Amino acid sequence: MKLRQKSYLLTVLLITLVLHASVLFVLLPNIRMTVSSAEARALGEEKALALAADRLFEDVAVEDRPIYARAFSIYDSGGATFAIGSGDATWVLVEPAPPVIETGRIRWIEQDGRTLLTIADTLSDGIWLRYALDETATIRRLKWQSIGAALLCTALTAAIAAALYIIQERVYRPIDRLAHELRTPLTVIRGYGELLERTKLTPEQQHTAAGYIVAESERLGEISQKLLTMSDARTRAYRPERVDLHAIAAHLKNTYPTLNCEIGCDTMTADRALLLSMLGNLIGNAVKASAAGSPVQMRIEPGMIEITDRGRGMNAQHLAYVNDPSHARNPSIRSGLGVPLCHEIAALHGATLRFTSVEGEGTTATVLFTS
Amino acid sequence: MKMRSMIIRVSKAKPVTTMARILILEDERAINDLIALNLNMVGHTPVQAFTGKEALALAAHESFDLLLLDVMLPDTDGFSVYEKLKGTPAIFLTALSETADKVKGFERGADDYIVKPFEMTELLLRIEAVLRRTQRSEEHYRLGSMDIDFVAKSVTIDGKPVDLTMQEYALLEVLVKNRNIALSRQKLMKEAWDISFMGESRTVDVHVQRLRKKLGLGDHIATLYRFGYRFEEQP
Repeated sequence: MKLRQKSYLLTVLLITLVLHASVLFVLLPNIRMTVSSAEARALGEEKALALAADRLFEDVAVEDRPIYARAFSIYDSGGATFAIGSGDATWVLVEPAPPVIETGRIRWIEQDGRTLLTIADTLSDGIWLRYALDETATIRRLKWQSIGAALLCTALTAAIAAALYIIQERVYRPIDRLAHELRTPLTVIRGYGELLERTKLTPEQQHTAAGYIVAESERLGEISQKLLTMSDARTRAYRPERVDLHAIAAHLKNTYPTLNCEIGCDTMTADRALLLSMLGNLIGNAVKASAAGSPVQMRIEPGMIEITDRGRGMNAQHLAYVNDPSHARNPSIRSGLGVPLCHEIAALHGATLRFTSVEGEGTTATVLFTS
Repeated sequence: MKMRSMIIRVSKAKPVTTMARILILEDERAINDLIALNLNMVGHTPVQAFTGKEALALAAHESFDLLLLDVMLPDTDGFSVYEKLKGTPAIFLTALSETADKVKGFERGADDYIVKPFEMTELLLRIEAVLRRTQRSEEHYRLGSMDIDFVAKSVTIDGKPVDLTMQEYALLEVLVKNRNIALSRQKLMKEAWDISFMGESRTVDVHVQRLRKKLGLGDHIATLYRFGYRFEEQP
């Protein structure tokens, strides 16, 4: 397993643990409180009943007590059931009969699909009182609360995991692309370096080898420059200003002598450095795709810049990639850093970048400023 | 184009009789030239192609002992070229470890892959291994009156056998197979004797001395100060 996948899984696991633990932390005291308040209520009512019974039996002869006890069948017990008796005899019973448990205890008992809070008490002269309160609704409510919390936790974890995955892909894809981009210059520099170190070359060969090393080092420099611009475009505040398009065109023409400019407006609002970087990249690609000396056309109109070449063009697969570099992930396409950078700069200007191309005939890159 | 003329001149100077014809398909000129130069150094005949179309056109007219195929090409990929030239052993050059997995999935005896950036001597060793497996490796090497028989693992001078120990022969073979390219003492120990730990590289010096003496190769095995040795055809 890749380290990246490992750290991702670990992070998700950690989030799951923390989330569930914190929900449990909130839920547990709530459960405890509900249970103890139910118990307190039951105990209070049971004690009131016991007090009433004690009072009644105090002044009654022992043999009359079972008859007097019948008076409790109309006692308002607040939904509770109870039984009073002595020894094996039950004097009064409010149905259904409370379960029999050890005396002096308070118990939660499951019976016939109901949850009963049961209390067994003794009064004076060996009279017993069995009391049961139906708390099924309370327990059911707690159960659903717990299940709901667990479901919520799981959904939340899934959402976080998905978000994390997307973020990770976004962070790593440019790094993958960069690693790939660095391979060729590194192979060349290393290879010709080894050749110089280990073989006997003619002076002419030595010159060629050194030339390749210098050229590829320059390429590494360019990659580093692109990376800096990219990180700049991401982090730096976007600084729009009035940009003189004639000056921009003159600057670009200096670098790319085969560039033809057709300028239909004098100025536009843009970040000068980023605009230059984007146009430089697009024109550079157009020049690379064209035969040596073949002209590249740049047409600027209000709200639109268009760069056209009559080079080798792109096939459908490649075209799909340059139009949306963040989604296509075909490893057989040699993906540079330039095009993704151009898309980012265009987005920063509220513009869209679109390529159209016919294989063998040429490519057109259009930047449309919508705002 | 300057590189091409340079390569042809080097290959004309080769006194070797049996060499492999190797097709290099790589769109980066710098890397293509680099591989061609190295193959020339050790006596192979490289043929350079920069696009899949070019490679297929070349393969239609002549046969090759080995293909070196870059996986990512502007017009196609190395795999489809390999499929079209079935039967010729190939080594894939790739920049992605993901593609490396794919090559492994091919599971064909004669195939191998190497990930960029690679060391040239490593590529040469892989080439030698594949050529040996497919029996397209050179069988003899002659220099002056010396004749090395790589099949029988024996050396003769003027037809008379020279008595070499196993270690001496193994060292000689690695030096000759990588001729004109210097090998470090560590590399020699690893490739000739399969000893990969550092240190005790003086053993290499001792064996090189003996080879020079027994075969009269004084000038042909050059010492590179603080690096290692190089077998040179033209000292």
